[in-house]
Amino acid sequence: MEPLVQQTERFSELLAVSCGSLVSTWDAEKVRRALQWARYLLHVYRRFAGRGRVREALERRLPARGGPLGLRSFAALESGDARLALRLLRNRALAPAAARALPSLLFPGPAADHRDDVPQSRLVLLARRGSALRLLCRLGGDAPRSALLRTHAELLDARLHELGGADSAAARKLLDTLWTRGPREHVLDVTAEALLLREEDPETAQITDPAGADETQKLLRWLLESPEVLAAFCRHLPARRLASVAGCHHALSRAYLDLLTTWATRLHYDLQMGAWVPTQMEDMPWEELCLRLQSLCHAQPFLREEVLVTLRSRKTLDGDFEVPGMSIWTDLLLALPGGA
Amino acid sequence: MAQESADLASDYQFWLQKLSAWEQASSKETQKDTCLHLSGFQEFLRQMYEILKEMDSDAILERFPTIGQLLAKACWNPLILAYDESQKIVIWCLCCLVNKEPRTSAESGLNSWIRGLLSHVLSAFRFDMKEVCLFTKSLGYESIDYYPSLLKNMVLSLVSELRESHLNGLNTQSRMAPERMMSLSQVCVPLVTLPDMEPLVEALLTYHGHEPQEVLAPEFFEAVNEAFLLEKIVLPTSSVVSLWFRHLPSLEKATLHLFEKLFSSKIICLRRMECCIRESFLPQAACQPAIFRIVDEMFRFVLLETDGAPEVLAALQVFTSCLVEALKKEKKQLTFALRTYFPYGAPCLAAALSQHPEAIPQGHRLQPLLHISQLLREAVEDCTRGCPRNPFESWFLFVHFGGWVDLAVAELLLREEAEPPAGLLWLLVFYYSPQDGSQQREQSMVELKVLINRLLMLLRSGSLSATDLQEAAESPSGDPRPPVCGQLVRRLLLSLLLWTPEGHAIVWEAVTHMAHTDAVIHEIIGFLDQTLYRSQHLCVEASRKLARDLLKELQAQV
Repeated sequence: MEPLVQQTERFSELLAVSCGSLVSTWDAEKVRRALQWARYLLHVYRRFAGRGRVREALERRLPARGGPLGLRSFAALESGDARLALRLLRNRALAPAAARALPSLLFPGPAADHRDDVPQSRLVLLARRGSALRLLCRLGGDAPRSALLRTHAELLDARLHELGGADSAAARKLLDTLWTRGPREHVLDVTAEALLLREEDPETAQITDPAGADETQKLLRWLLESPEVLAAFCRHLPARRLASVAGCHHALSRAYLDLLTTWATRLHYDLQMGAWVPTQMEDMPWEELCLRLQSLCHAQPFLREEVLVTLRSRKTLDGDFEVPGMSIWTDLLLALPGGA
Repeated sequence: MAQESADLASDYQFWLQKLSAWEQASSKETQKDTCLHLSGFQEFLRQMYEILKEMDSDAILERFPTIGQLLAKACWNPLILAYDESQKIVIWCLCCLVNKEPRTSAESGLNSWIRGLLSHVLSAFRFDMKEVCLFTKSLGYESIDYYPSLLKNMVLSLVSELRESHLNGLNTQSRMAPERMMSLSQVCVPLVTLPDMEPLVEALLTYHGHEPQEVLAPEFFEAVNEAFLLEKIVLPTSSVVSLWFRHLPSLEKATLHLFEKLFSSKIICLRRMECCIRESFLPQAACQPAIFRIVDEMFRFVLLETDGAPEVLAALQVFTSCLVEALKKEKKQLTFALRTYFPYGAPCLAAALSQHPEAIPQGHRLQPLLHISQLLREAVEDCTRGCPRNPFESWFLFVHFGGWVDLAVAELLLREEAEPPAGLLWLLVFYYSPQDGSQQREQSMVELKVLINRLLMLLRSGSLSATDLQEAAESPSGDPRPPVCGQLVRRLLLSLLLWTPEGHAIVWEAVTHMAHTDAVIHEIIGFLDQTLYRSQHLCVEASRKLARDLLKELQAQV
């Protein structure tokens, strides 16, 4: 067991440095050996994929040595050779002798066509898939963007899953990093998509992925505990989409409603214009506020209830005016279905 | 050797020109042209690889100075990289080009350039937006991680788009524009054999647009058909049927492909034929009358071209029975839709023929046979309308359903009464010699009657010998019969031998007498195979065992 772990760690280190400048000291022999190790680990993966204990033991030791660029999970053993291959091919720092030997090591030719433990066929498949993507994206339309969002959501989900357990400190760190690096709008879109990931097919999701809710919970917690992100989330996302997400996660719907009511208080009634106007430029205008509340009402019956209850209680606190222009809550209720 | 060299040189120039033309314009025409040449170019690449792998880098550059250009242009053409194995072969060629011992900076530069190209081929897809790329990197994923997932989601998105477009029939705004559909189908041409694409291929095939003309590119249908026939993709029956329904040339090609499989061997084996036919999906497709008519037409053509070759007849009969089975599975009664499948025969005739001969209990078989005989006779010999009708149409309809002739032979040989019914005689003579004039047919019927009476007499005499049988079969005047009637005579003899206990005793000797040429042996083998395959309801187990033994023996002889 211990030699196996060591082997894995060594390969992980190799993988981690394969992107950097250290490879300038590598020779053809080292590349060959690295690929051999990768092949060995592929066999290990196949052998132990179903055996929980070995798998867990390896996974516990993994993230330590290699870092984010090394082997990140047991599953990564399956594609270690291809990953190494791609990094080395791309790395301009690789010593010339090693670089010359690389192509024929990776693509031995027809003899290796039927072997499933060398990277050739998998790399070729990657090339074909890449071309497919290029061709399909060239067509334009909505498909590329929605596919990308979904993929990113799935990848985010996978990362969160890797961080394991209910401990959200590592998850928080990752999400904070993503938020800082940006692009922020994209992060928000992906977050929304990820929160909807399991909602499309709740029945099967329940059966096949009972622990899946963990990832969603981590994401949700981060969102709710980061006021800046939450505010941006609730402003940037289109009304309908946000209403769908809110419909699936109660805690979020509460927070969203709270924000909307806060934003509503920033509007004041302009007598001359006869409308509710923002106090400052960046405040949410009346039309958008209405639209968002309407979308919530249309999304789910329980949301509609919440909205109406909230607005009604505010209206009462304000003095329960019926005349428009006196209390924003009155006017909002008038604009909503079933509010009057 | 020199000729091969010259051929290769001109091919090389041809492809170099083509690649240059393709990269300069990326219009629909260019795309179409590229798709048409994909398999040809792959062949060329294979040839090049075979040559390049034996040479070192310097030798290659000397012989093919522009090889770098050629390979680079191939690498930058996503349609080429997407096709079948082209990307693999291009990569192998590039690997051949690597200089193992570079001495000059130019040679090192070449190696570097090759690595760059390889890198490009392996990551053919990059996000347009740098920021999005950043996000992926922040998550720590590389192309190897997200390509499969992204492709899967891309396919899903496109499939949803197609489905929605389909549902929103009259709502022109949410409909997928015809140009987009055309482009989509074109782009799929090199990709049909990539398993990730299967849901999209299926969705395209089953998408029924609202435009009067076909919106998908014909080369798409061709590519799918080709892949299907070569068993490189697996598609559900409904998709394949849709493909053939929308693209006639594919249907014809599929039928020809089946014919090649069925008629390539001289030995007829009906079970194997049935297997091939079923696997081809053509019977299921032929439940659509329009498709059946075309396949039928092709059978008719081959039958005419080969003068009624027995293997074609056999295949047609097996095909028809598979079709009938497929129709039953679709819960459609053949009798209701007959007119649309067989417009060239009289409807009552088609109805009569399509009943199942096996389902008729013994003792009630004569009536339907005579009925069919009468209908056919009327259709063929009806002179009241003036010009005689073409008997081929009626014969062609008749031969679709092979079980009736088996039944007729059985009735003739196993009857208790003295006189063989004229209707049965007519039927058999017509089956084997449709082109005879009515006088010739009358004559044949008389001869047939005489033969049958003789055979039955021999049977009842109590002592049947092989020589007796042979003598009875020969014409009294000694003139050689035309081959077709020879077939009928042999069939009667063999049936007698197999179905009667007296026949069993002398069967080996009699068959040895009969089997004097290879052609006849093949014919007998065909008959035995057919008996085993089809006439279970007519034979007892002893007869079947005998037939099996005979068949094995004869097959060993040829």
